[in-house]
Amino acid sequence: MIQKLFTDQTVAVDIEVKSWEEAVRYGGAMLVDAGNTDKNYIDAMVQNIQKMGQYIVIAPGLAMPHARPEYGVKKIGMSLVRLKNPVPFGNEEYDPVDILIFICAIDQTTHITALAELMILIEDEPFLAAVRNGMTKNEIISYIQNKDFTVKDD
Amino acid sequence: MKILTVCGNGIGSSLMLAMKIEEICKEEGIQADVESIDFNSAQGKDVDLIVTVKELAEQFEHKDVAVVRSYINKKKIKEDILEIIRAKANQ
Repeated sequence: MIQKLFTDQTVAVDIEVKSWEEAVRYGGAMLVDAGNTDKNYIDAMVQNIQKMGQYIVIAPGLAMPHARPEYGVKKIGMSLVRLKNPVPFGNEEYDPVDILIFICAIDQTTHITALAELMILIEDEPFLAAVRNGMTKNEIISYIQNKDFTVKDD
Repeated sequence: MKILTVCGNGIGSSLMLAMKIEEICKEEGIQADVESIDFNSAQGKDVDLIVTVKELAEQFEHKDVAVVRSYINKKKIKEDILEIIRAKANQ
């Protein structure tokens, strides 16, 4: 199902920001413009990082900002932002961040499916390397659309 | 045994961690009920083990908190907590 979530409106590359907060607000605004959530959600994601720390940086250079559904989420959405210049989030292990994947979830069931698929995507190291090596926006979208996200149950 | 995975919201990183721990327990033949939850709700829960990252672990007074270095890297998660889970399961 996540193939449908990454579109022309929700993928952006070579975005220039000066801070982690600016990066989070940028990706959040894409989800607002795409109709997935209210503006409240952007503030909630920023506050979440301010309060709970930098654990949303989940892998080297990769952050996954998100907040709880009650902050204005209308429908499930994800967005991907590649920064032109990496910014630090204050995470000792995985800073600085150059790829951000934003999530807004509405209900637990669809969310679990989407998240399991997202995990397949972020464990796809050749994909992340290609994104970092200058994949274009359209290449990113078509890569995700053509990827097999069947969860292997072994 | 009951395991809680914790992050700020209970819906992102901790859910990914819960999926990884479920996989690990299944592979190792350990019976475990794994649930993800947000930091605030986790405080009052009665469970066998809480699993989270360092930043959040420091804020728990619960005595059974295991720390993982990553929410998604299965190898690191296994290195960090498999022995702890095994020990708990054998109690």
